[in-house]
This record gives sequence, structure tokens and C-alpha cells, in this order.
Amino acid sequence: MQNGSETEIPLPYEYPPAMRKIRDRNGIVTDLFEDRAPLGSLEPVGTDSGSLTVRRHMGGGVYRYIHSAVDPQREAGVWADCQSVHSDTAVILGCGLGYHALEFARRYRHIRQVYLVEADEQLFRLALDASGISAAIGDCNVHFLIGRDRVSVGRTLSDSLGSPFTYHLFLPATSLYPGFYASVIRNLDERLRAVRLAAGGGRSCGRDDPFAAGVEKLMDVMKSA
Amino acid sequence: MNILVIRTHRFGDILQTSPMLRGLREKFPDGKISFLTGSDMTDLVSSNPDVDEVFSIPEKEYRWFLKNRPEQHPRVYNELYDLLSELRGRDFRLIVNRQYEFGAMAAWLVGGVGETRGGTFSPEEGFVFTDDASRELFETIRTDRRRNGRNLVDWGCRIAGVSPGCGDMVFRVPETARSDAGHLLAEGGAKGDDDSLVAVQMGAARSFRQWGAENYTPVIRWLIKDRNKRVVLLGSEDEEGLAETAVRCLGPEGNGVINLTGATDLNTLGGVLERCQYLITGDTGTMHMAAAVGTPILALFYGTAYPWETGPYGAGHFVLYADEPCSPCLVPEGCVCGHRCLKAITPRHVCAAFDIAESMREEGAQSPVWSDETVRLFVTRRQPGSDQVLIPVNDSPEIAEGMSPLPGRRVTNRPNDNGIESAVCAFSGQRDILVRQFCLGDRQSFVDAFSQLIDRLHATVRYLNGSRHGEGHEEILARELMPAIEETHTAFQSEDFVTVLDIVQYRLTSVMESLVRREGFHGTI
Repeated sequence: MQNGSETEIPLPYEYPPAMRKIRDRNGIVTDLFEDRAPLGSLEPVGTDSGSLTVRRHMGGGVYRYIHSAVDPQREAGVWADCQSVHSDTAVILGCGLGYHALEFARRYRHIRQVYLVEADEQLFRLALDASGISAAIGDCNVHFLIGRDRVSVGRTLSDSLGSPFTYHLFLPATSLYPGFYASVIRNLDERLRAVRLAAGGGRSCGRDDPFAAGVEKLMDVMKSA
Repeated sequence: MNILVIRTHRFGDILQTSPMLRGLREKFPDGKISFLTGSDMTDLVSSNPDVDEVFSIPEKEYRWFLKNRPEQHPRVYNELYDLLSELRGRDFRLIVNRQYEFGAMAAWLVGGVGETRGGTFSPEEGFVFTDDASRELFETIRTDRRRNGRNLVDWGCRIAGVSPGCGDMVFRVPETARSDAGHLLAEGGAKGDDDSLVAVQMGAARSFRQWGAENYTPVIRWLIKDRNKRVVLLGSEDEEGLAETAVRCLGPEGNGVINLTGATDLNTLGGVLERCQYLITGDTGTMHMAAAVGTPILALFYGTAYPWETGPYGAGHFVLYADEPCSPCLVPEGCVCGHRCLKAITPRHVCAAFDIAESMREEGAQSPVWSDETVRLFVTRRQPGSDQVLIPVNDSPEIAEGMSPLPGRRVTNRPNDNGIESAVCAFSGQRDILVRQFCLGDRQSFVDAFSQLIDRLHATVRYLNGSRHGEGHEEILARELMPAIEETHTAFQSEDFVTVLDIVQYRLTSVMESLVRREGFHGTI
């Protein structure tokens, strides 16, 4: 089996620029795109349902689809339904063309802050044009972290996430850049544990023993047994 | 009323909770029974008709990460937090914990206003028992195990607050596993109607619990040569060496052995045991599985094993036990008695006990004679509403009348059985797990789920190939099912997980639907 390659193989494809909204919103994100080749190894493909999906060519005639070639919207709905959301801040790792992020936003309207992380700038450019994700650019509660700068993404998330949050993985996108996302996930887990222990998780097992500390105690027992 | 039962590891111990689950169901017919178990035990629990919902936790994996991978601690912490938090939100009114330390702490974290039975944790007192039955059991075992005359299954019922003996051990073998078991036995030369199969489980989790290949080998030879039996060797992958040693020592008689050591998962183990006339074993998980599928047992107890405590549950099982004054052993690795209790049981005892067991069960022998005074032979007796008892065979001529006949065994795939429907249900269940793992985004869990799905598809193919079904199945197999399986493999090799899911959700589901339609079953999968 091939490992998730983090190289790109360019394909001859002319991508129509649709960057106006993101330029208005965030200059740093825009700079990321200005000097990028439009598509690289990404190939948009029509689906049975009439929507667009995209596949990434991995070399040697091998490719990976990012969304269902049958019905990406249905896939996104199932994905969103499976997520366990129990705080008002969410981090979505892997944007793809944005179908699942949009379904997530539709289903969980109580979410106040969303951090959308996408390692692949070109994929995100395509998303801005292919799905309704560009509408979220104007929403100050939606934060885009695009590109593969682990340190910068890690620092931004650590600085921003001060209360319990949930994070959600979109496997087809995260498996394209396993090293990058593994690093982000480690950061998120450390941060989540820290905020849970600091906040006590809002649940109490006894008068002086908060739930969050109880889970830590359970881990000590498991470790020593 | 929401009820939670906790037991995460050791499949024999999990099976031993089934009578208690039956009792809980009878006591709370409208209650919803949830079970927290280890990820590798999910099949075992979900097949139990008295369990409504299964929560699984990769406890073994967590323990390994906690001991070896500090960088994974935050992830383990968050996953434990999420799971226990979800359970806490269920507002369980009764938690029955059947496991020390982890189970007790989980019960403490999950418990709210409801009652916890079987042991919990208190920040002030540490591990505590909250019900009389648990306290009594703990005290008995702590001070003198020989005072205990009650099987842990019956203790479990009392701890849960239900009457003992309210149910049998239960394990429902899935049809595909039954089919797989049939194929494994057939590959070893056993025909579908072979009623001479005797299973032997030589290994055990700990070396001091093993009777040894040198003792089992003469018994196996005797079964083959003198009793015209086919012997099926069972055990885990770790015990393959033990089985190979025995087969080598058997010489030409080794040809009469079907060696399935390391070849069965839990479901298939149940399927193989169901086909066997007897199981000869020490105190093992396989023994409890045999009891759960209704296969008669001849069990050898020695060392730490104490038959009144963990003997095979159900009526008409036999137990050999050398009741030494120092038994049951507290320090088996440092035994100062030269493992007398183990060495007292010889192959001669096992062969004699097997003959008595067979004659009592099949010929209704009314006056069995067991003359050895060092090693005793007991038979189990169980009646609804009371604890199981062990009775010396000589003292119990009436036992033969009360012994249930061999449970009916399904030895062939009949054209009108529900094999296809069962296979399709197994497929759709595993497909839903695959979709869920895709959505949760953990690559390894997705890969594991895919591997299990493929196993189930291949089991379906084997089932279809080996059964007599209506026309058209071969065509569906050749033209639709096999190419679709092949394409999922190709996509999986490229890590094109989206395409894997598309094929599984659309093409394979459609093929499965057409298979069940041919059987006259109409429904959506």
C-alpha cells in the first residue's frame, strides 16, 4: 500500500480565478494563493448526482477521490450526522470541496466558532469556486487555516482555543497529508486535555473531584495495572 | 430504566454474564440494557439477545499506549473522557460492574444518582463494594476460597440483584461463522454429519494452568484409536506450538487430528464447538464458550482453578479435580507441593472420566462408578431458581435422568435456512461500521473495519459456494459480487477510501439486496 504522498503532480488544467471574497476577508490567506499554480494534480470530476467531486492524481496512474463520485452531498450529510458535537467550538480538519463543512454548519447551528483546516491550498481554491464554502468567507466566526505550516497552524489553534471544543476529521483530505494532520491532531489533543482539566469539564463526580480529574485518575490506574 | 453492565475483557468472563443479563431482562422487561466491553469483544456481546446497546472501548490498546507512548496520553485521555461523558449522559439507574479497578473507576465516573452494584470507587475510600453479595464474595475469596460453594455466574446474578439460575449461558453463533466452521472442519476431513468430533483445548492463558502436551497426547491417541473419534484441536495463535508438538508426538495417529489452533475467531470457535460432541479442556474461555453453545464439557481443574467457583455452567458437565488440602493454589508459580494437584490428574483419569460421561449421557447409565480417591469426578447440576452444584458422580445416580440430551446441532446447510439473510445482515452491519469509521476519520479504524468487511464478504462467498441454493446465485457471484470485491481491493490499495465506500454503499449493497430477494426476503439492507 502506498503511503499518503505529500508531493504534487501537475496536470494541465486552467482554473478560473474566483478569489475576490477571500481577498476581501484575509490578506494573509490571499497571499498564499497568489503565487500558486491553479490546480496541480487535482482533477475536478462530475458525479452521478450532478455535483462536482475532485480526485487527486498520486502518480503511476493512481488517484484518490476526495468526495463521493456518486453523491457528495449525501456523503456529507452522513458524515455530519456521525459527528459528536458537544461544545460551541469546532475544528474541522480537511475541507476538500467543503460539502461536509457546509452540512456540519447546517446541522449544528449552535456552533459559534468554526476553525477549518485544509493543508492543500489548491484544493481550497477549487472549493471556493465549486461549493458554497465561499459564502462562509464573510463570516467572522469561521476561521480558515490553509496550508501546511505546522507551527503556524498549531500556534493559531493553541492561542484561539481557550474552552472545550470538538474536532472532526475528513479522512479523504487528511489522508493526503498524514504527517501534517497528525501533528495538528497531537496539538489539538494536548490543548483539549489542558482546557478540560482547567475547566473541570463542567461535570462533577463528587464534592471535590471533578470529572476531568477522575478520568486522569482512571488513566493512572490503567497505567499501573 | 437505563441499565449498564461493565465487563471489558476475557471472553469467558463476558459469556458468564449472560445468565445475569437474562435475569435483568426478566426483572426489568422495559429496561434498556447497555454493555460496556472491550472493542475485541463487541461481537460476543452484541449477539446476546438481552443486550440492547453495546459501548466498546479499546482498553488493551489504551493500556499499551499508557505504558509505552507518552505522546499518545492526551488522545487516550480525550477518548476516555468522551466515552465516559457520553455514558454519564445516559443517566443509568443501575450499573452492574463485574470488573475490578478499571470497571470500578468507570462505574464511579459514569454513575450519577442511580445504584451501582459489584464495586465502585470512592476518592475517600478507594475501591469499595456497595452491595452485600459483592462484599460477601470478596470476603470469601480473600479469606478462604474453599468456603465458596457457589459458581461466579450465580454470584453475578446475586450481585445484580436477580435470582440465580434464571438463565443459561448464551452465545448465538452467526450463520456465516457456522458456515466457516463447517468449511474448516471439512478441510480437515470431517463431513457435515460427523458425530465423532471431540474438541481438545490444550493451552491456557497462563503456563501454570496448562496440563501439558505430554498429558494430552495419550488422551488424544486413545480417543482416535480406541474410541474411533476425530479430535479437533482448538486454541489461540500463541498455542500453535503446543498443538504442533502434540501432533508430532502422535505420529501416524496425528492424521486423525483436525488442528484448528489459531484458525478461529470467537464466532467461528462457537461454530466449531457447536459441531463437537465433547470438549476436553482446562479452566479456559473455550470451556465457557462450549457451555454457551451447549456442548458437553469434560473439564480438568487444578492450580488456581477452583471448580465450585468457575466450573462449566449448565447441567451435565463433568469436572476432574484433585482436591488437595492446599487447593485452590494461591502461589502457582512458587508452588512448594510440586504441583501435586496438577500431576495427580493423569491421562488414565481423563479417559475413564470420558467413558463415564459418554455412557451417562448417551446410554443413561444409572450407577456410574468412579473408584479413584485422589482425583474426584464431579458432574454439574443446575435447577432454575437455585445455585449450580457439583456432585460427585458416585453420589448421583439420578443425575443421568436429569441430564439434558445433546442439544440439536445444525450439521448441514439446508436450502431453506436463513444463511443468506444472516450473511446480508452481517454485511450491512459491518458496512455501517465502515461508514462510521470513515466519518470519524481515524485511518487505522477504517482499515480495520474494511478488513472485517472483506472477511465477511468472503465468508458469504464461501457460504454460497458451499450451499445448495436456487439458480442464479453463481451468476451473481461471478458477475457482480466477486468483481465488486476485487475493485474495492484495488481502490483500497491506492488508499482511495472514497471509492471503497462508494462501491460498498452502492454496488455491494445492491448485489446483497438481489441475493436476499432471490431468497424471498424483502427488506432494505
